[in-house]
Amino acid sequence: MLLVAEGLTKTYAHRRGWAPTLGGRRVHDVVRPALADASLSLERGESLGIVGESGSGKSTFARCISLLERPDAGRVLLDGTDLTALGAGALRRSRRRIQVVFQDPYASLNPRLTVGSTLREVLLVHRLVPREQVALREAELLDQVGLPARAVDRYPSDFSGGQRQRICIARALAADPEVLIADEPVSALDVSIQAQILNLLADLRSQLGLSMIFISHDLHIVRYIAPRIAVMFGGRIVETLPPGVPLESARHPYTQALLASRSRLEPGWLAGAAQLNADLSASLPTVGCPFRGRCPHAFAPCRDVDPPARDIGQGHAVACHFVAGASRS
Amino acid sequence: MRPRNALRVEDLTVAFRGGHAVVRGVSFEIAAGEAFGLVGESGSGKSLTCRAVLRLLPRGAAASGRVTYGGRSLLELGATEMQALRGSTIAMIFQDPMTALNPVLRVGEAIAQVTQAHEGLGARAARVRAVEMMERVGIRDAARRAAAYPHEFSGGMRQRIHIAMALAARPTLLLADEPTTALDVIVQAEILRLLDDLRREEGMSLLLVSHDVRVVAGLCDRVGVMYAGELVEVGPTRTVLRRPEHPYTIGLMNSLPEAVIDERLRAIPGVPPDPGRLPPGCAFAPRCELAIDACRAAPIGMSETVPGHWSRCIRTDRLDELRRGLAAADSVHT
Amino acid sequence: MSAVSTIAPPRPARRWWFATAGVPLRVGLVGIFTIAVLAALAPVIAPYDPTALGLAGGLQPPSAAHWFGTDQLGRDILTRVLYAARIDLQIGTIGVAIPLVMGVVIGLFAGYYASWPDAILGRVIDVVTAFPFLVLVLAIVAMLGPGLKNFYIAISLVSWVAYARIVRGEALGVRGRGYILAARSLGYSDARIVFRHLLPNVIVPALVFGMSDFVLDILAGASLGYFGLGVQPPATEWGVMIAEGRNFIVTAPWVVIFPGIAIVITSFFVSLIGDSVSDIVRRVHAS
Repeated sequence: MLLVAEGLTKTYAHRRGWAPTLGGRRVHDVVRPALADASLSLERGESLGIVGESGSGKSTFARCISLLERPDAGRVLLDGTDLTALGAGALRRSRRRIQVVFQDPYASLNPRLTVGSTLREVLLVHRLVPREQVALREAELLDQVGLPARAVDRYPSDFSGGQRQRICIARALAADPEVLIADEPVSALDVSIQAQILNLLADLRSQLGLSMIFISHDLHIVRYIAPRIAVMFGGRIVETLPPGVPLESARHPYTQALLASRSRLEPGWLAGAAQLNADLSASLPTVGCPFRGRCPHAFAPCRDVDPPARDIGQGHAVACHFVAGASRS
Repeated sequence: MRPRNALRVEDLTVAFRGGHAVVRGVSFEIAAGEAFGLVGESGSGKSLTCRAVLRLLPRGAAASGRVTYGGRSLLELGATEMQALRGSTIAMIFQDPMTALNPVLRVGEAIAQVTQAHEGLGARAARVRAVEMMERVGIRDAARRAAAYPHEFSGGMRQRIHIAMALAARPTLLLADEPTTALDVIVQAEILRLLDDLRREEGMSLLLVSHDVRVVAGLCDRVGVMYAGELVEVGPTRTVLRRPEHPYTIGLMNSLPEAVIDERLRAIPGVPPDPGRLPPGCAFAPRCELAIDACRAAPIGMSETVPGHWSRCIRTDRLDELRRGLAAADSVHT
Repeated sequence: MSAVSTIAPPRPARRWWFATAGVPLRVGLVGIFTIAVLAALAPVIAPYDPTALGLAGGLQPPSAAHWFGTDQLGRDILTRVLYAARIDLQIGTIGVAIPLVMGVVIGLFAGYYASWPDAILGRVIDVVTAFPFLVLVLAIVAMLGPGLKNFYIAISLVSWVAYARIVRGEALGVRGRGYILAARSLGYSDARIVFRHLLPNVIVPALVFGMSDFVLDILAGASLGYFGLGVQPPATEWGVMIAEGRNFIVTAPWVVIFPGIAIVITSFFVSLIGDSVSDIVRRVHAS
């Protein structure tokens, strides 16, 4: 097992300033964690997809796995090494092993550095190639992501969104990572460019044997790239679909709602789509199943106990009392 | 109910001062009560086309051509007449509801102002109507929540309030510029359904602009596909999706993950052209597999391939090769 | 992959920015450069010795022998203006350089780490800026004693705050940007991130401010000179010249006019540069 994340939890508290305020400190009520006891495992060369909407905790999960933020609880083991236990220096050195491609290609590149400088810095800081070979490696990386060698002297502003994302991917590859986390890498791009980047990621994965975690709100994109899918809601993984299990076989009410609501190429699909009919503006409950406010099947246990993930066959896991009850009977 | 009208856009061109045309000779019609979808990627000119109808163009942009609604030529109206029209007869909603929602106004007040301005309702009557509108757009406990500020609502709720404001004065034409792009999947479906229901109830015409053809497929009767400032295909949604008549449309649909099973995505190679450096002939030719010399030589006009279905392509006879992929995917999903 | 074909043509190499810069910028740069050259060559081109007391008597109006006239001690004003230029340019340069480096470094780290370092800096900034700049400088020089060295110390202690505030504000904004997060994810040290990624993207407003600060420092030096707390004789600078000649404004105005003009012209050129740079920055940000 290359990467194991165990029980990652992260809460963003509303912090008051360090100086006492005029009105005194207010005892703030319990804040729902952005990420609650989330775990995953990734084999070498495997691709895992994470699907979730905004607020599902998927980005927090990505940041905690890559240790860009320290989780409040839980561990992250990379090839046996506990990254959460590392000191600052050792952690910094280990960072190159897990690389992230972010959502916004326009903000992710330093506008004052040329493409070449950006790539060179990675190679030199981590001493990945001897100095004489740096230029060669830069050209290699650019070629791998489908950019011409002359891009080396250009600034990010000379490139379009899709091309900038390629540069970001090249930068991530320059670090020679073992795990690549792609956090909504195509959401900010046009549809026809999305396909190009998705193809690129798929190609790189097979050429380089990369282990990948692909995060998106789009079920179809995730299914295309990753055979195994984890669905997140309210800071938890609510369903895990193994390869081979079609999306349509999803059992968690939230996944089913996602499937029913997704836009498709079918004319007039809206008329036939199921309706959730819940007040989506209400904030999520802090106790029990986070989905219970919107779930058509919510019943007594949902209010008190956060459902644990239960395997319902061949690695298909669902965290739902209703589904657990149904599969038992 | 107000008289229902047709929107007729003829040869609309939008150009920036001293620059190139970013909308080039766009023509389409929306019948009374019809939902028309305008699809295109960034830079295709779809948003500017939408804004040109209400003359809400950015500084330095000028529109020419003809836009008529209910017999009135919109591009020639005076400023005051145009202002009277906006919000009352023709309303618009945007991708970011905060474009319309003043953060320091309570939402009930914001909606009430629309009817006060356009229908001359008194303050109390306007507030009653505002609560009614909020209920209609699906906000629960509307009477109490009318006193809340925009920041107290989630993105989806704000979009509903935005819609309430747009519809408060009962317009007969609604322009929606990417209204669901910033929303989550489930909320998006809810908002689209809301738009669809309200449209049918009010007998309103709808122009829905989106970069996602799937969004438009959900509720539009007819759809127009834009590329590089021009309409390249227009027709009933059903036929445009089932049997597209332009390589770009086919390419667009082919690049969606649902179009492939266990294969590579068929991405359209290359990038959209710079409006300042358009090729002399078909703007899509550099990226098109079927392009021949005739495509590159001179601008291509729209031709009606099938009654009601228009395409700006002279190679429609060869499109079956490209459509093959679509048909295969389609049969699996039905 | 044909995605590559549309990369924009390469932008002109950095060398040519001077040629394409606007007129005000060029005028400013040429002006300052000229003044600097004249100042540097003062010992060579000045007609007289700056300290030579006049045998012909003082307060002579401008003439062929003395282009700017002589002061009350018979010293040639043109010569003294030239020699004073060296001091004034030095005041402007050092008076900006030291606080700039101090302020930028402190502001960078405060802005990058935020939380308590930034809170502390914030309070320090509040305290220092509560005092008028000149009053504070005067007070420090009065305590330490007159002279150029103490003047620099005083300026540095007071001025760095302005730079820190500017840079810290910018840094607080930039630290959240994607490329900073990316740099962290690449395992770069904090020092590298701050100096190589943060600094270039936040420094420009501080540099622009430095231009106006240059002028302010010269004026501060002149003000201090007026009180006798600035440069001490035999060295001189324009402010001191004006101060020494203040009794003769009516009877022999040339004693104060020429150093005054020198201050104005220098400030003018520096302002041109500062305005042009901030203009360019604004236009670049807008695109």
